[in-house]
Amino acid sequence: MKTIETIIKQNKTAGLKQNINDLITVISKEERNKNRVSGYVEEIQGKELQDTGNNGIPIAIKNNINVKGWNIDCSSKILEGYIAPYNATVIDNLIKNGFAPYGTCNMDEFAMGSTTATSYHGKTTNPKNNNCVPGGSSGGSATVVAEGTAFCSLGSDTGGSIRQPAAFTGTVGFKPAYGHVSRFGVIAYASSLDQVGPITKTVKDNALVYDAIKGYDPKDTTSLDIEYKSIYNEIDETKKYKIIVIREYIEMCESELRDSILETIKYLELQGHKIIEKKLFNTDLLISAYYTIASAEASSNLSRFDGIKYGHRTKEPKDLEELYVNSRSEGFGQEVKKRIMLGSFVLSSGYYEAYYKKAKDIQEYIKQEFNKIFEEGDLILMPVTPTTAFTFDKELTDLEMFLNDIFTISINMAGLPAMSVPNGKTKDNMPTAIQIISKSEEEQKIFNLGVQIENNSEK
Amino acid sequence: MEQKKLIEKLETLSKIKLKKEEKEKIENKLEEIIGFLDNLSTFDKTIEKDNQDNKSIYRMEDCKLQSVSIEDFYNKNNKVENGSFKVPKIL
Repeated sequence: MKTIETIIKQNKTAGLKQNINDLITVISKEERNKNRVSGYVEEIQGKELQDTGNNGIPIAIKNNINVKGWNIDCSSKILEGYIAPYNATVIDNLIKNGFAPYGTCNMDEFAMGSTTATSYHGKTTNPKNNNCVPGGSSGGSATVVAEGTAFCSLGSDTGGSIRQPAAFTGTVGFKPAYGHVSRFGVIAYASSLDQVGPITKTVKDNALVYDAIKGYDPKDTTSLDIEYKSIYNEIDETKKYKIIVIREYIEMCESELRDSILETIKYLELQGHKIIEKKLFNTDLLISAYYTIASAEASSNLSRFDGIKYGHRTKEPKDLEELYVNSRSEGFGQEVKKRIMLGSFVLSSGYYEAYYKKAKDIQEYIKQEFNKIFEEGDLILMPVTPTTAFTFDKELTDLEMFLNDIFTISINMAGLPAMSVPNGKTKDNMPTAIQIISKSEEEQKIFNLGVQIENNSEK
Repeated sequence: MEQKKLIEKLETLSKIKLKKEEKEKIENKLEEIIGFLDNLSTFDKTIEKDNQDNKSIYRMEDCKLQSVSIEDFYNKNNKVENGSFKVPKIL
């Protein structure tokens, strides 16, 4: 009988130590049973999610979403030993809908990174090629689904952290529209950009998990009080759309990825969709604005980890100031420190207007640009990343790493929904993916088109 | 020297004390990243990036006490071209 524990044991026996980091916490069966409603699925591998009747389905959870009684540490030393005192709303929703959260997934520390290598627990590798990164920050969440350790997982996406690892591992990752999924109980990185979403093997599975977690939550002031509609029940694989293609972005991709995206577009045109080519905004400005806003919000959100309110406390400080400073300095990793400092800089006196305020102006401009573009079409198609999964030894500078998120961050800035759908493989057998974007209130269209792309890539 | 002062200021603001080796790594990277963020100034020319009259709505101290100006980074950063940071290619 295969359980998550036995799979991990098998990995240990086989010497695949890197896979152990995909699941940091493994909850015992007894504890797992407390969380489920009924019918826990013992046989994890080899079944389709929808075949189980949506009952007690095991789901892996990113390590920044609170599950009562679990050690939730955002893969950071500063939260080592922190036991969540309550469930995030998405966890309550999952349990209510027959899912059984069973373990936490590795991630970049406080969701800051694109490789899962900034985790305090060590790196996670890509199951398609262990020399490659799985992407990040939800790299663990994507890996457990890609390698078959989980049917589905939850990730969080601040600038592409669900979609990029999904693209790198050949899974389906969906970032819902801002306000559609509650952030209550999710440890914040950048509150105005963060959203929780599912990673699954198929688009239909993704709809099932999304249906379970979404909905209005009075405990989250940014939650939207809109009518609940099931996505899964309404999936229509025959719908045809006006699809806007950003060719300029596609041309920026490495050749094999570019060709696979162009092939998918050609297929969709042959199926009767109308393809319209358009241009989008300057990506350089976009990245500058994104990192200004994300760092500013991170510096504010992470100020609570001071050794008193939350987090690791330094030993024998001589005064309160030293307690704060030493606790934070010992607890945070280098990437997090850098972003907090950058955030402090852009919010500091004299620079607020030049950076943060200007970045917010650009954010408003991006929203307007998307509104204009959606006047001419139903959906936008663009790449998820400029490359397929890169190797760990490829030493990217900070700016090069930022540029890896070039096609995903604008979606968070505009609060739009987007999905990464696998659309093929390279000669080296690495997954390629395409990104579908819609208006906030038209997420159904993403799933309808996603299924069509998926059907084609499976042929 | 200016970068050292900036790092010290940021350490104070963020309540983080960097180790020596971290400081060296972050010092170089921060310069590059801030240079990149300066691209924001090209979005709207009506607000000058180094306007010392600008004040945060949250902080009331005198801006002229700022020990480091962005202009210094521009002058020292060879990746800046015509007032815009040159984006490195990753492909």
